[in-house]
Amino acid sequence: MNPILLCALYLATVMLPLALSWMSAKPPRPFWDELASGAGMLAFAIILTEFVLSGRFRTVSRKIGMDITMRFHQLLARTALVLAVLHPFLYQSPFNRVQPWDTTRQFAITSDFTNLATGIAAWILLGAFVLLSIGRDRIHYTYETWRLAHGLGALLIAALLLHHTLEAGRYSQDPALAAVWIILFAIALFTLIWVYAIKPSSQRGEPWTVQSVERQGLKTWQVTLSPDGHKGLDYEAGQFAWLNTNDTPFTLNEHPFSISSAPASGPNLEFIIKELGDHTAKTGQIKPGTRAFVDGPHGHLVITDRNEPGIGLIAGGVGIAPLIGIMRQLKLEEDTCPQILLYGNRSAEQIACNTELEDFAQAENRDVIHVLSEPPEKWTGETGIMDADCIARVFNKPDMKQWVYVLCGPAPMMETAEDTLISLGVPANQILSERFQYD
Amino acid sequence: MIELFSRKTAQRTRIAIVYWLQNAALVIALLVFAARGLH
Repeated sequence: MNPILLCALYLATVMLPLALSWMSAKPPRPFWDELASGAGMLAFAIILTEFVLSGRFRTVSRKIGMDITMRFHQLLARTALVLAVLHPFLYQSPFNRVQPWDTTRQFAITSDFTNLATGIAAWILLGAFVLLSIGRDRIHYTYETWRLAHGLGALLIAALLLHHTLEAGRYSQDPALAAVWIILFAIALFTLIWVYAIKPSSQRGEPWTVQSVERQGLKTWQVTLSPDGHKGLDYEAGQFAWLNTNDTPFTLNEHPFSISSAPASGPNLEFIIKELGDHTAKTGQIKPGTRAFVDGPHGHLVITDRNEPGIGLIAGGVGIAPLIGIMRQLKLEEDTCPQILLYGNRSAEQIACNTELEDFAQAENRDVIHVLSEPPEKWTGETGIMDADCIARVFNKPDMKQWVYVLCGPAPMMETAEDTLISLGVPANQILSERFQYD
Repeated sequence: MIELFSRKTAQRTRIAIVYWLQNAALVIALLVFAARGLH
């Protein structure tokens, strides 16, 4: 979906309750009361659409990227939190029992404890929930615990807010607005069912088998899967998928990894995975024959429809994985356009697929430039971190402004690379990147 | 201007701009809604 259309659709959705309240026959209350109600409605609408942004819907993420979709999910949670925190404090009218003659609830804010209690509980939980999410990396809980807590916590907050909104909300007494809230809540609930039940159910009929786990560098493994009784995945080079090496697709223990194989190489899927001390620490222990499930493809790091005259690939560490996939695909397609890979690592032992990269560099019009921050003795290549000077030295020829660039690696490296390429005159829309960390 | 925005602006800046534009739209809608009570 077109990004501008997506933004417009998003705004229309979160503003819909406000618009319906405006159109209701209820007379407006004083400014601060209306501001309080409006802030509450916007916060709840944003919270409900947060479920869709994190729901792995390709329609949402294919055009703008799942990383950007997730970044908006994170940022908009902050907006919702600010609106929700302000909501109860903006009211100026007294919190009283609503009198029978005040049929439009114009002169008092309800003081009914049951109706307020769900709002207060959601208010407290939301604050803790957003702060715990922002500080996720500093709190060392496992990925599975995080996913379970995040999914169930969000659902609990949404359910509490639905009750509070329908019972305490002045405008939500209107059947049309009440229906909108229930529909938005149902959509949010459906996204959880989609991710945790429908998708795994569809994966159950398309299992994979681990064929091999080969060492490709220091603590870096290439895991190869073969389709078990189906034709495989219809993907493009550079995309990623959620990989699950458990016996069942119904698990929280699945993780996103870039696909490093080329679609043209056949139905087998390859992933290059680096042990980073988390769930990836046991990658080398995965046994051939292990049952696996794949949710994908996802991501927009693809150059299939691009027609630029050259390709610059910039990778840091395990960020080489999707770029290897793109290079393998181009090789199989016998693509002859110039390609340069700039690949940064800490040490020479960390270089993944080194032999394959040496072969790649032998071909005409292709080059691989390694950058090592801790080079061995007698190293004659680039040294240090992959900074602006290093990138500019490699990609400063005038005709390289016309190239397409694909970046994958740690966030600081990607930001440096993007800024440098733009300063060299490369249009930003010729720079493709995908992140797995957003803060 | 949109062409310039898409050609010269890094992704994180584009994200920040779109995010704050969205926030501005939400705040304006909220203020307009609340301002009905001023009359």
